[in-house]
This record gives sequence, structure tokens and C-alpha cells, in this order.
Amino acid sequence: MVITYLKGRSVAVIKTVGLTKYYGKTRGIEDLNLEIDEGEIFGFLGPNGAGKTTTIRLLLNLIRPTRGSAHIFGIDIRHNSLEIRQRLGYVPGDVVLYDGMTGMDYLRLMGSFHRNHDGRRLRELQERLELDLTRKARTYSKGMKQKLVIIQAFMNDPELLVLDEPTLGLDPLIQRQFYDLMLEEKSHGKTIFLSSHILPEVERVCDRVGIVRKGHLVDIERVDTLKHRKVRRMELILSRELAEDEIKLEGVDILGVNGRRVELRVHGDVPRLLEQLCQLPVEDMSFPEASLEDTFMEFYGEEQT
Amino acid sequence: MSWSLFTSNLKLSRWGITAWAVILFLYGLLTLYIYPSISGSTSAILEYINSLPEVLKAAFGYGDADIVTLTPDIFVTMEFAVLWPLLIGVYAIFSGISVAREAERGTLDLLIAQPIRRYQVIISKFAVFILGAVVIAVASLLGLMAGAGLINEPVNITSLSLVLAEALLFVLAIGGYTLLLAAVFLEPRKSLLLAGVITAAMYIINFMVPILDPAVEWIKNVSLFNYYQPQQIVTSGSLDGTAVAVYSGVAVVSFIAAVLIFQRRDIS
Repeated sequence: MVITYLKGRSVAVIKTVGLTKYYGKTRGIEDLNLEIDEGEIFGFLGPNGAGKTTTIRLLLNLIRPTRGSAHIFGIDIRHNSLEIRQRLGYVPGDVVLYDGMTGMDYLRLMGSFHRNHDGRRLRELQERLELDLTRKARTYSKGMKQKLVIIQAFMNDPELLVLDEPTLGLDPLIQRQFYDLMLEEKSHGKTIFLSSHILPEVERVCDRVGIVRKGHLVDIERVDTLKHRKVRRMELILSRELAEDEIKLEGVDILGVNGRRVELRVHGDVPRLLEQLCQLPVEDMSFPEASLEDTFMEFYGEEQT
Repeated sequence: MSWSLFTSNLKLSRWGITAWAVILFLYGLLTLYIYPSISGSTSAILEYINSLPEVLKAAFGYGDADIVTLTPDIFVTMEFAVLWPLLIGVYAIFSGISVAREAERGTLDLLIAQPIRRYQVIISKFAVFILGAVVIAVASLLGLMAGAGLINEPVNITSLSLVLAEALLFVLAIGGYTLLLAAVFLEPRKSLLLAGVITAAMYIINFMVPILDPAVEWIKNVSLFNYYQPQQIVTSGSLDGTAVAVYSGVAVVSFIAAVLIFQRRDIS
């Protein structure tokens, strides 16, 4: 299935039409039609091998499309990629640095290519992410390398940030700082393309998500909408054991009955469900906040996220 | 060329270049330093060399013609200049594959995602290689000059400078075709292997020529070693125009082809 999501605006920050990449006979991404607006944080979700990184590499002109087109800031990625990259910050999924360079040497080198390079912003980000830039890259932990490339991506005042699994290796405190940083950038009108498979992260910061599976975009939704569509789990503790066929509830799937413990998946009307529960010998219940993960899993079936 | 990338690459390569330069300085110095110890038995050495089969003479780079005198300059060509392109060829091959090494490691991704043109990346890298090769050649010459200062023999430094200049061009040609292989495959091991095999094959072809059928003797022309005749430079006092043209041509054409291919390659 190919979902087309074109909003009809004049210039989107990112717009792809039928974007396809094959590596020989191996599919990377196929017929990707996407529009991302200025000032939004767009989550690009999918399991490993779904085509997320291929899409990013196409957008950055690291690889050439087999067919289709992509425009960033209204510029064709194949014709003036240099101007696009001047206005773009990128965090790769797999961070590899020059071992012999210090963090500062690396940032200076990367900054030297940008006309907007700002030393003050660099220092501000360094203090915020608490990274020692005097050390050689070979002595950095994975988390420190991740911090360095985050500084690198944010320090040049980019209009668009392309982030590929940016929080991998970051400790929870720095992750929170990073989310705040993304939201600040968004408040300044910046656009963020966030590839991730960490659902709470996407839920926390994204406006919209595109879900990609086996090289195809299967859905695009606003996160708010997705939250409303979310499937919730409920656990009941009954005062006495009931057989599964004695539990008659509308809008739920019974996931399991284990003695007096019943596990349900709720996708129907909650007030109606509560009325029905009054008919059962419920002793206790838990009904945690809906997780995007459960909803997301519906798209993937048995695949791991 | 990107100046910042050039200086960064130079900074990363500085210890390697320094090590090569020091080794070749000492090698040059020692070559001339030991000359007086063998100068007393030059006739015996020449007799031995001239009695070698043509294949072995070619393999050791002693040329076609019999050597009639063993001056310090000739001694340098036999003991030092013959090995120089082979030794610095190793440096050239490892420098040439650096783009492929970066592609495999992943450092190239983030670099090319910056607002820099791909040709700037490859030019900056090749410029560092050229500068490194020049530094090593100058250190070698300084080593020879230092060695000449230690012995009481006349040494024609101008001729030896010309020998090193031709050897340098030879090494640039090796670096050029290695860079081309690296741009084509973007796999360091494959590029290294192919560059090594090509270089070794040219070396073998060169010394096999004396025993080849005259009908296939033309094959020597495909070997870059065929054009490198340091003794002729010393005896004639000038560079061989054909050698200069072949080495420069191979280096320039390979480099341009590498840039054009790298511009279009998927970095994946």
C-alpha cells in the first residue's frame, strides 16, 4: 500500500515525490511521498531495515535516488545540495569521529564549512550538554560522541535538522536536555525530521509521525490523533474466577485470563466499558495511560519496533 | 580545495609523514656514509653486478648497460634510488585508499553532509598526500646531502635531486591510480589489494622483459618501472622526458577520473 500525503501548500521544507532507492535488487525505500512543513517536528518511525536511514541518506544526497524526486527548501536535492546542506544540521545514526582529533578540532572543522557558524552557540551547547571538548575523540564514550555530533548539528543555526536516532547512548538527564533543545528550536520556527524507534521520544516531541515499514510509508498521522486512536491495556482483578466466555465486554479483546487476573486490550468507548464492568465482580483494576507503542504495534503486527 | 579540511587532514597525517621522512633521511645519510667502506673494492663489486643475469640486474634496477664506474652517485642510485619508489609507493598506496577507509569507517558521511563539495574532499586528501611525498623526498635529499658532508668524495647533489624528482613523480602516479581504485570501489581492502597487485605486476613485468619473447616485449611499456632509470639521470644529468610525461599523465588522468567518479558515487 502506498499512502500519498500531499497537503497542497506552495513550498514545504521537505517534499518527496515517488522517492525510491534500490541497492541493486534490494529495496531501500519505495515511492515515498511526503511533505514536511516549516516549524514542525516530524517523527519518522519504523523498525530496523524499514528504510528510515536510506531516506535520510537520499535527502542528504549521500546516495542517489533510483527514481522520484526530493526537494528541500524548494531546492532539488540533486541540483543544489550544497545550498541545502548549508541550511541543514545532521546527526547520523552511527557516529564515527576522527580518533586523532579533539572534540573542539572536530567542531571547528565542521563549523568551517558553514557561513552561519557561531562560536558562542557552540560554547552554549557545550555547557548545556556538559561535554569536554579538549579530549581526543578516541577517548570519548558512545554518549559523548553523540553529544558532540548533536552540538555539531545545532551550532550553525540550521533551518532544518535531520536527526537519525539522536538519543542513542545519551543518559536520561541529557536526553531530557536534548528534548528541550529540540522544542526550543521548534519554537524558533525550525523544522526537525526525527528518525527514531523510541516511541516515548516521538510522543513527547513530535507533531506528526510517518510510519514506514518494509520500505513503504504506511501512514502519516498527527501525534494527537494517534494518541486518541491509541489502544489501551486494562488489567482486572476479579473477586472470583470466571471463564473467558463469561466475560462479555464490548470494545475489548481479552488477551488472557489467569485465575482471577484478566488482561484486556481496550479500543472502544471507555464510559460504556465502565458501565459493563459494573456487571462483573471486579475487585481491583489498573488502566495505565495509553501507550503509543501499543498503537504502533498494530502497524507492525508481530514485528519488533 | 578546502583549506580547513586540508589542514585537518595534514594534522592527522603529520606523524606518519614525519616517520617516513626521518626514516628516509637516515637511509639517505647511511647510504653515502657507508660508501667509503666499499669504494676500495668497487672493481670486485662491479664485476659481480655485471655478471648478474639480465633478469636480476633489471630486478635490482641496475639497468641494461654495464656499469663501468661506481661513483658515489651511481652507488646512491643502486642502493637508495632504486628502492625509493617502492618504499614510498607503500606510503602512496595507503594515502590513496584513505577516502575508501573513511567511507568504510563512516567518517565520510558526516563530512559530506556538510556544505562542502565532494571534489573538495578528494582534492584536500590528495594535496596532503602530495605534500607528504614532497616532504619525504626533501628529507631524503637532505639525508643524502648530510651523508655527502660526512664523506670525502664528490657527490653530484643536482643529479640526485633530479633522480628524486623523477621518483617523486613515479610515486604520485602510484598514488593517483590508487586514489582512482579507492573512488571506484570505496572499499579499502579491495583498493589496497588491487593497487598492490598492479604495482607488483608492473615491477615483475619490468624485470621479466629480458627473458620475454621479443614479440611481446612491448608489454614493458605498461610498466611504470620501465621508465624509471635513475642511473641514466645521473649519467646524463637530466630528467627523462618520456618518464616525466608518463608519470605526470598517469597521476593527472587518474586523479581527474577519481574526482569524477567520486562525485557520482553513493556513499552507503
